[in-house]
Amino acid sequence: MSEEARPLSANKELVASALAVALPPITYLFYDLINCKNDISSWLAMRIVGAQLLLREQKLYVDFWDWTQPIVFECLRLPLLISQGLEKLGVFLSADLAVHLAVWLLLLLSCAATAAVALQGLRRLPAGAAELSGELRDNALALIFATALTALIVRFDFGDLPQLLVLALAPWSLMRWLAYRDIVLSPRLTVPLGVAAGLAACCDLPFIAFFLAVELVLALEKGSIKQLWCLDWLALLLVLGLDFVSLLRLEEPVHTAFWKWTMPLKLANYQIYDGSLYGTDSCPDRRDVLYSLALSLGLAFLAGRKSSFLLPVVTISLCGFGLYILEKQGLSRDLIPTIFGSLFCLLIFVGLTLKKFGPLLLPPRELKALAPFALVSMLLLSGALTTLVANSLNADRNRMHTYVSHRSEQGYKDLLTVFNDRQVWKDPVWVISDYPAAAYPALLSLGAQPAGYMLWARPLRVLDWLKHHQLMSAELKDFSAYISQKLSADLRSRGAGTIIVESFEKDVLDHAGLLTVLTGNYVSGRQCRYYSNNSPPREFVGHWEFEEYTRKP
Amino acid sequence: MSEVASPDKLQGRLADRLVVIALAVSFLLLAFNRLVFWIYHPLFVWTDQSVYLETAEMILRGKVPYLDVFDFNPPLIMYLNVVPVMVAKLLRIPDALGLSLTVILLNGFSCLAAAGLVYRNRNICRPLPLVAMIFFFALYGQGLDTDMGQREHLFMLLYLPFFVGRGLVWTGGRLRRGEAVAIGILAGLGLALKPHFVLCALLAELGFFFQFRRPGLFLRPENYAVLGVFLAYLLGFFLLPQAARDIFLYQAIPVYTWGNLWSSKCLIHMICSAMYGLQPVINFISAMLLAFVLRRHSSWILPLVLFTCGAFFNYFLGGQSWTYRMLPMAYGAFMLYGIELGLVLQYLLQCFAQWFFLRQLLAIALLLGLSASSYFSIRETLDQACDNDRVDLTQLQLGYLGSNPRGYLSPLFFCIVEHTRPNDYVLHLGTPIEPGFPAILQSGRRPASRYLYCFMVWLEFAREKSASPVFEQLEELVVANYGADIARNRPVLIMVQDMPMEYILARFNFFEKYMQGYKKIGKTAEHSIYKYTGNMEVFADAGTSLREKLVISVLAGERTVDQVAIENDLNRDQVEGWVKKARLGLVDAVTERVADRKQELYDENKGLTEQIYRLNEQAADLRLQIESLQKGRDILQPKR
Repeated sequence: MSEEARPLSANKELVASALAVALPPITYLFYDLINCKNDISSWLAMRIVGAQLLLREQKLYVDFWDWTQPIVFECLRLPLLISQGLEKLGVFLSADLAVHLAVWLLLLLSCAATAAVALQGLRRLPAGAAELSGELRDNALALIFATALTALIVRFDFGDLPQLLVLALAPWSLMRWLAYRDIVLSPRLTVPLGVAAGLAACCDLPFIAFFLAVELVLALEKGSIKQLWCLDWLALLLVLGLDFVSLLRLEEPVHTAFWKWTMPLKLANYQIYDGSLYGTDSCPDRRDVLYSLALSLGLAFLAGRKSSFLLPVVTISLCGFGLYILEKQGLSRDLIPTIFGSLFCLLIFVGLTLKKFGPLLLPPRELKALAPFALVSMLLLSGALTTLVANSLNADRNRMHTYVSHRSEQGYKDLLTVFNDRQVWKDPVWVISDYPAAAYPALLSLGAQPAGYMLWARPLRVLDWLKHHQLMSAELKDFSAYISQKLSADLRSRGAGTIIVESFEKDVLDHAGLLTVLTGNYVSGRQCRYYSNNSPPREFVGHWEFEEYTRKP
Repeated sequence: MSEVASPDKLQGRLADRLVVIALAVSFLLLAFNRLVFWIYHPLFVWTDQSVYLETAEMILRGKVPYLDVFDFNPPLIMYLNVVPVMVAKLLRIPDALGLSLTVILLNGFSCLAAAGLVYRNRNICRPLPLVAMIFFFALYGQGLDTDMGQREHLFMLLYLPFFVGRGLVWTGGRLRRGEAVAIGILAGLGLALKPHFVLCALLAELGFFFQFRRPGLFLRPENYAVLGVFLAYLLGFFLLPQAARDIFLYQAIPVYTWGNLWSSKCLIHMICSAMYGLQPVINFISAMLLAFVLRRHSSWILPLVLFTCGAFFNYFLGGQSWTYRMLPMAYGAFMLYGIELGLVLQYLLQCFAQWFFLRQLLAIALLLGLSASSYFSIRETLDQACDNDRVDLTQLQLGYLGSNPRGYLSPLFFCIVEHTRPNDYVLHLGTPIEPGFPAILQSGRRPASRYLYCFMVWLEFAREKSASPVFEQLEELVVANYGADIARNRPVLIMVQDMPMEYILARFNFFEKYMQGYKKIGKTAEHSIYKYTGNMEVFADAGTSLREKLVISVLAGERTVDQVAIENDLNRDQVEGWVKKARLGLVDAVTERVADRKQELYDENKGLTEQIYRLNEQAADLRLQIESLQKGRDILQPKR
């Protein structure tokens, strides 16, 4: 059937339904981003600091270090440049808010892209495919809602890389699912989505596995791989190829620092289990997500005969769990794809159950009479769930605030108080910690300059472990020597007014011969804590004990 | 009327028989090839299992669970362990080996029973995926050593025939009444071991029900049998003395509920801390993905997936990183692999149906592969057995023949056999169950207290966290019970863990109140060893030279043992012991030690290895410093 032959009202209905389900969470998210500016993911905040350093002509991996892919910093440049441009025009838009708004726009684009894929898919369905049409519509709505609501649920990790991955995966998986049903979409849609998917896949090493896994299961189910020959995959591979070429063509010494130091260290990190992750409080207790995963898996198998789109989403969910295991940090951010996948499965199951049991509860005529209210019900349902999540976010904030105040009164100072006491506004400060949350977003908000080579100190521990187990390659030995030299110079220059050192990082500094340099140039001060009950919005890995060092006069 | 079979039919029957025989032999190989390993490791048993074996021993001596022997678990596991203890007594082998043999036999029986049910219903169901599933079940059991005989393991072994039987019933197969009742009773025993196992079984049933929608099939003899076991268990529980039940309900359960949190671990530790724990989770992810792809091709996938999801939930709900708790999930994932492989094989066989002997070839290849792997596994065990590093059980006078690799025994085991005699009482006071258990069971000594393992640290934690006075009273009661047990059984050795046990006991003046007459003779494996000497002095701390002189004077006939003992205010037995040992070797006799000589050498070796390691590290540091000095500031200059 030609595109024109389809009734337009069905498309309008889909758009209206999509708006009804997506608007409440997206609108509330916008409000929350504006209202609670300081709730920014520590990882994102650290990368913003990195991107700011890049804008100041510093060299990634050479002048400052974090193992994030260069493309991420490149992408962050744009909102930062906009923010700077606006500042010149007299409009103040902080860097973190600019990035948050950019990610929020990406969320809108992701939902819009999913809707566009569904609309075009509906238009291109063969005649008599009513069942598939209904399934496509339901999947698209659930996907849009799951994308929007997940963004709100993971508010404290909003804008972090796994969330960006989910934004790219949502329309991509729907498009690929349609491709395996022999519904080929217009290149005007597939190519940009392929590019977006490619960009997302470049953001971190394991991300490409998500796209491959989704493709693999779809191909296995269909028993064919001819769908791989398409423009979307071509676009994705082209972006990956271009990124690879750009990495190969990095200038020296960034090239060496990336290929011989950073990547081997990152790969080594996947093989190392951090022994400090032991007691119940040493990483966030996200068993709730795993229970949801188990439940959603069970429900997905129960509903699996009715909805074939569950296959790619279950794959995303399980790959998210795989990512969590691979990273071995126990942080909520690594479970974002799992949260998204589980939420989608639950939504689809509820939808299918309502569809099945609706006719049993009400006669068909009455059900038909209720059809006009469907849109309102969707809006109400979405609004109710948004309110629930919003309340839960606020409860998390309040709980953490109470916890931190309570603990601060009892003993050591909280890190935030230390930063405030030291008046580090625009003053260089250095936090040597295994996890970025101890330093960011606090330092970003205070505008404090990072005074050390490393934005965070996890790599020191990885190198120490490799050294201890005599697994250091020649290149990593070079890197270790380079780090020691840089950090030693940083300490001797006394550039930072204050240095905060994670207590359990001191042995690592000692092994690297840096502790004596530190104590030679800085005076050991009070003990402080990164107080948290290790749940959002404050998550940490391992320990929370810190020590304050002040510059010797 | 008989019909003469055509040559083609005969050939077909023969070919089918060949497949069945090859598969049966393969199953037997898979089920029993680890037998050799266990026979060559007769004392190898892990902590929890050793406690249940000891409990079963005590039950056989007329003791009552909870009252005379305390535990946190429901009583079924204690009574089930009577079976391996009886086997051990019958065959005159160690209890540990009794357990291994019993579990191997149960594993073989379970797999063969399940395979038998499939074979009898082969016309109703497609047998290949099911055979592969049972095969993978047996395969997973191959890798178990420390978790062998754990409650989760027993549950899976007892539940397998029931799962297969129920699946066959749902898919239209038939079970004889006797078979149904038998598998129901076995499954009931497995399910009753821990209450949350029931969730897994219910989910599996839900999976079948969701597909076949025949509620009538719930009303079947195998289900009645399961219910019957539960009712009998409940009745049995009420037949326990009131005091025993009270201890379980008002001491064990509250302490477990609170104290369990003391040993809880963070989520990522539960998954990634060891490969042994990580592997089942990776299997879970991959098996689930494949299962979803193949979900429409077998009605067994959904129940198995739900079962595995239930087991996944149970593991994380427990909040501990004890890997045995992963077993149902791990088994579920492996069984899913089996079904998935079976479906793929079935598809391939259909594709190549014209290749008449493909099925037979596959069966023979499997048999050959398994034979080869069994051969290498057995050879490896035998090679290890030829090593000198084995402890001769006959010399230790444990009442058994044979030997056991030294590496599988703890230093505390050697300490016990060095200082006590069979049937002597020994007490271990430490936060974990090990090394007290399995050492006490392995050495054939008797536990001196009703508390086979010490849970004082749990009580302390429960008291602090709950702020309930109940736990404070319980602490005092437990300490008093320990005191009463020491007074009654007068253990020859008391092994006290350094931290935190010594500190906890000191709070109750335990050493002064209850350990009068005990002398500290040394330390091993982070435990202080106290030996009962009455009021006599023990010369563990005395100088070697003095002891040497005294012994030489006895050996030279200048003095008698009694004279030396009286003149020097010494324990006569001890002097006699020195002299006895001196006759075996003077140097060996004058060295009073906690464990045996070999253990000391091991410790020394360990210390030296650590020293080498540290020196290597320093050397690496120095090398790095030299290299960085050589490179100097040129390190960052761009390459031309």
